Amino acid sequence: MSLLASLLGCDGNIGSVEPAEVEPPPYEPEPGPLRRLAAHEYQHTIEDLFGDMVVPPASLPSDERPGGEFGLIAVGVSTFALSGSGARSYEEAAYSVAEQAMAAEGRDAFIGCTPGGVTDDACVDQFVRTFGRRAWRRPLTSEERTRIVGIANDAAVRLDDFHGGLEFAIAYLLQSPYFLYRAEVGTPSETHPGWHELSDWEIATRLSYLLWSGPPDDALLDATAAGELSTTEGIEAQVHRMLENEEKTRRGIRAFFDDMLLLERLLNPELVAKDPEQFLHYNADVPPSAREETLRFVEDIFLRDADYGEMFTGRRTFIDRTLASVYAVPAPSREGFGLYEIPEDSHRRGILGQLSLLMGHSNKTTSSATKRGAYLRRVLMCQPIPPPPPDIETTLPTASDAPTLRQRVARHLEEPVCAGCHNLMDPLGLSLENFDAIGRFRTTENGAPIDASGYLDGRDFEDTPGLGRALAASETTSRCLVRTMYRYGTGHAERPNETAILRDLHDRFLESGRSVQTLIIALATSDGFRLVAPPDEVIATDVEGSEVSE
Amino acid sequence: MKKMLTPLLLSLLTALSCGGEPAGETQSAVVTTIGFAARNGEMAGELEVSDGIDLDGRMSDRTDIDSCRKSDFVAPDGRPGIDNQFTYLFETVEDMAEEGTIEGIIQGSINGGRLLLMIEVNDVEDWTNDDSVSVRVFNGVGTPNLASDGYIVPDQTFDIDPGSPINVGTGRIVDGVLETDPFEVELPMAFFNVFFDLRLVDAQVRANIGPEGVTDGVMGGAVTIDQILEIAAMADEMQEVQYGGLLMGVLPGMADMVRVDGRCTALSANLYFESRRAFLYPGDPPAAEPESE
Repeated sequence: MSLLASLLGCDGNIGSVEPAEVEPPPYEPEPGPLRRLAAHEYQHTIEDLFGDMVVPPASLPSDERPGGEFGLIAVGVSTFALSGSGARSYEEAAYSVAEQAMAAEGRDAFIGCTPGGVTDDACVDQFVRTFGRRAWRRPLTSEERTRIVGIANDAAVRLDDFHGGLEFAIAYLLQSPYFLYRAEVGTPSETHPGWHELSDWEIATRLSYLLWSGPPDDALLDATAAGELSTTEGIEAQVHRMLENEEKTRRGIRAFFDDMLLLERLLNPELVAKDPEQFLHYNADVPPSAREETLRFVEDIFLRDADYGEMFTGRRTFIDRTLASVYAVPAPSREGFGLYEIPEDSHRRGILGQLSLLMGHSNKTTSSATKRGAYLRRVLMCQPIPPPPPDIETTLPTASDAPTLRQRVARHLEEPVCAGCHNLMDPLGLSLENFDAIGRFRTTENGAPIDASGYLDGRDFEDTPGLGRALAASETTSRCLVRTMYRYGTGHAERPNETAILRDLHDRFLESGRSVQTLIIALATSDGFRLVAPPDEVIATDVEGSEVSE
Repeated sequence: MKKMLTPLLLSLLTALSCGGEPAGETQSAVVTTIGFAARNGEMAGELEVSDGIDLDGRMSDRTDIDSCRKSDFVAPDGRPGIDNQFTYLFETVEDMAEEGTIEGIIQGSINGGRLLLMIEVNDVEDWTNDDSVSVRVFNGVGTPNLASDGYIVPDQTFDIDPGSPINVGTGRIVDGVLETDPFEVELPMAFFNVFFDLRLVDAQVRANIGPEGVTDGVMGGAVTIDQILEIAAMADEMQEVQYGGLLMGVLPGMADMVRVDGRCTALSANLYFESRRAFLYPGDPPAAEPESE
């Protein structure tokens, strides 16, 4: 059985996904994906297009994570086909948005002209020209505009209402694949024969959804129309301009880490439910607050352009009254979230001390070294862990036989059937054992003292802060962020032929002092961001990317 | 005028209690349930058993003139000399009210954030035995979250109510029990269906305490007959049942404290409470609403 575990990859060699010191194969691009807007991207897009005129619809097709619960939604949206009910959801959403927009105050300012009658070709065409470019993220062809003006006029005549007609035109635009999907086909490259270069419009869309989790603004569209995205310098200039829009940049970085850190599970009460009788501090407000804390935490690292290592060692976090109660500290703010500097002598460090990890990856009544360890390995270190063999006995000894979790999971680590995988997960998870199932600090479990010591990459440590220092010092975590950002930005799991790009991005990330801002700029200006394989050479991709070795 | 002076008074009290380098640790607790301590129906020899505190330091029986011939009780843990004549009044009123009404009103006030009684223990160097600590009793402000057990979630953060007094006392910790010296306390309370500040003369606190602060205990003191009649008059205005006349007749026979001109003018009373650790927001509390004309 240990042979099987080894074959599955659970040989306990945690360095197996570390980069080999060999020259990577020459870079070759992968085909550009056809990406559906994820639900949050759809909502952000509606917000940007309509502002306060419209309440974005909440009922949208759900987004799935490829390869189980640990894949990126950003990859899943190009992996899974849209169902019939999903298409109907988009149709309903389009009509809902269009109806709200045309019923809202200020609709004429939104349209940009005052109609001269029930039909007004010039006014409709002007609207379709400007709004259509923003919605489809490219200029509409004259044929497309003519078709949409016709739709608006037909409906207006039937309804005897100019705005009623325009409602249908808007609904048409919002149901179109050009709105719902991000096609990244490109055109044959002159400088890279056999490959395609994304069009400037496709690059603009990639940029805006990477940086802002939303559509290009008029400035980006204008720059694109002016050909400014045809050069690396032009792209970089736009990235710098976009990063200065703090509101949208916050939204973008939150969306990225929301996806990477699996934070949406905190909005699903069933996934993170705890026993309220056992945990007096737990209530329905805790999980959403825990998600918000982590989002504000990563947002802060990004906006300060701080070292990504703070992800594991940082003592600046943001908590509200609900989280302060769980952390047993005074709330820093009477309303909402406030900055909280974690004391030096506290065991909480970075995300390792946050409830999004500690509570979000525990059982209902007990902590889980396995779940926490798996999260660290898979999400923050990008190391695959195969599922357990079928029909395996997973019952742990009772607390009366073994008061601490370290004692109870010892069986995992001793039995060959279990040890291969559990040696990857449990030792890391056990270093978080000073935090119970809802993330409250503790020094004992069932009356016995907790031993939170562990090791990683040859480093021994005594407690959670020690684990944080080890993770921050490990290139595994920085490579993982690079890899995840690459997947997020390009919409596919990297393959071995992209290793050279990843290695270059990682080098630049390290040179910058692990600046996530620099990583984004480096990604946006890399060949991997603007080159794709021709669409007729589509190869089935492994969305988990587990076969990749750098 | 009172509210205008309150922030100044609060600042002064804060400065007095926290001036200079802190000598030790501080923990605050919010009272999660409170009620009047009463006889429990048991006997210890010839004496009845009631929780409470020996407020006057005397072992009184029916021959003790200084206690107006009122016998003391014995605490459930065997401590003698417990003064708690209020139990008779409480039992009388409780009999007149529907069962659970008084407790329900008080608990509702606590859970609703209208009665956030807080006990802060300062200058603690040893949470098991410390011969000198200071204590502040005051009302908190905030909207408490409730736990699944129906009481306030531990470790929440509140403000000091700038409109209520801060009562400051001294005391000691003996074998994990906080004992305060007598100090004056005004507690915002609900009783007789009215809300009022219960003034406890020569109040004392006796409570279990640990590194996370006070967990449960008793607060006792003398309640003057005049104050009880004032409260009863307020209650009489709000309901059909009239307590005032009844009380005026029976209270002098119940009094055992504050002897003036040979007559006792107050009843010994005790409140049991349970509390959970809480925190105070850093900085000044929000300004009180301006007093309306």
